[in-house]
Amino acid sequence: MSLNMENWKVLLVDDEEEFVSTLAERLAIRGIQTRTALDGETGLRRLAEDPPHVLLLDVMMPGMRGLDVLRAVKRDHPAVQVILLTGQGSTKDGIEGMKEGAFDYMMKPFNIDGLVAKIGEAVEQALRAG
Amino acid sequence: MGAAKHLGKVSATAMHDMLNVLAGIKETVGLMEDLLCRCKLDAATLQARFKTMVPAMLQQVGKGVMLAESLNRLGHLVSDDDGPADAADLARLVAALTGRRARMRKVSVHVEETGSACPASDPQGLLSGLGAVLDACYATLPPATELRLALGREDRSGLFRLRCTPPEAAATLAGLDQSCPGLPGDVTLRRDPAAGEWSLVFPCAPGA
Repeated sequence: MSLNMENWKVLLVDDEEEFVSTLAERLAIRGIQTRTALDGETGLRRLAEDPPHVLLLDVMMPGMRGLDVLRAVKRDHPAVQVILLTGQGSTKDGIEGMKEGAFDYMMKPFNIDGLVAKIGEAVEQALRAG
Repeated sequence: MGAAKHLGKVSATAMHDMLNVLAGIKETVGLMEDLLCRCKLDAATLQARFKTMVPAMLQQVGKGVMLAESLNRLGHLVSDDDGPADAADLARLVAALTGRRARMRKVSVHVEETGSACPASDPQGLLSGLGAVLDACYATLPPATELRLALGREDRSGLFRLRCTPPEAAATLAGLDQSCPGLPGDVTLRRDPAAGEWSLVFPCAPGA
């Protein structure tokens, strides 16, 4: 089973406002409509309203931490696939996230084409899991 | 935790901040490229879009320069042996480099000076001590706390009094000495039982 890119549902949660709006626009230019949130609590609310196929989730945010958001998502919406975004120079958080059920992780700054490919794989996994 | 570990943590936090800055710049440049190559926009629309993007990018570059300069200064202070260094400068440096950790906890840090010079005789020790204490404060203080490092002198010692707004936030620091064991050299934490206030005490250069 596969979906056209324009039917992918992606939610991006990151506290860096400029980064969020720019990345969402770059994904939109590629045909991927992306909803956004600037903190974990808002992200979980948006996710509950309309669960996406893929959640792009910053690991380190003020307030609710990314890994706490990940745990809540995997508990309440296990089909949603989570790709962790981290600016940290170590893979520690990414690996911990994978143990908690994340689909994968990417280190900032990343390549947009690599991210789009990863989202595609995660959408396939979400469709299988759903 | 040894001095090198405290300073390593300060550097890692700053580099995390820097990677976020670079990610922001990379996405903005990437969007410019997308608008040029993938979108059929007329010249006037392109120009208008770029005009809004350039200030944001310059702001990111400015933040990156601040972080790079601060890391450069930290590196020199740790590797060179240039003698005493101004304690207030060192505190501002550590606060700038650990700014991301503070923002994560929604805590703000300010350095208050008395006006009299306070040259720390062991800059590396004070940097490490400040790194340890701020790290412990970020982990403990409630969100929206303003932490002030009030610099003072006592004979041959300098000290940073840790003051909080709102004042009741200081109660969360009751176990601060337990949270940052192994402070380097002659840098110590002292608690004024009457005021319930912690001070980070460090040696000042003789004759200062």
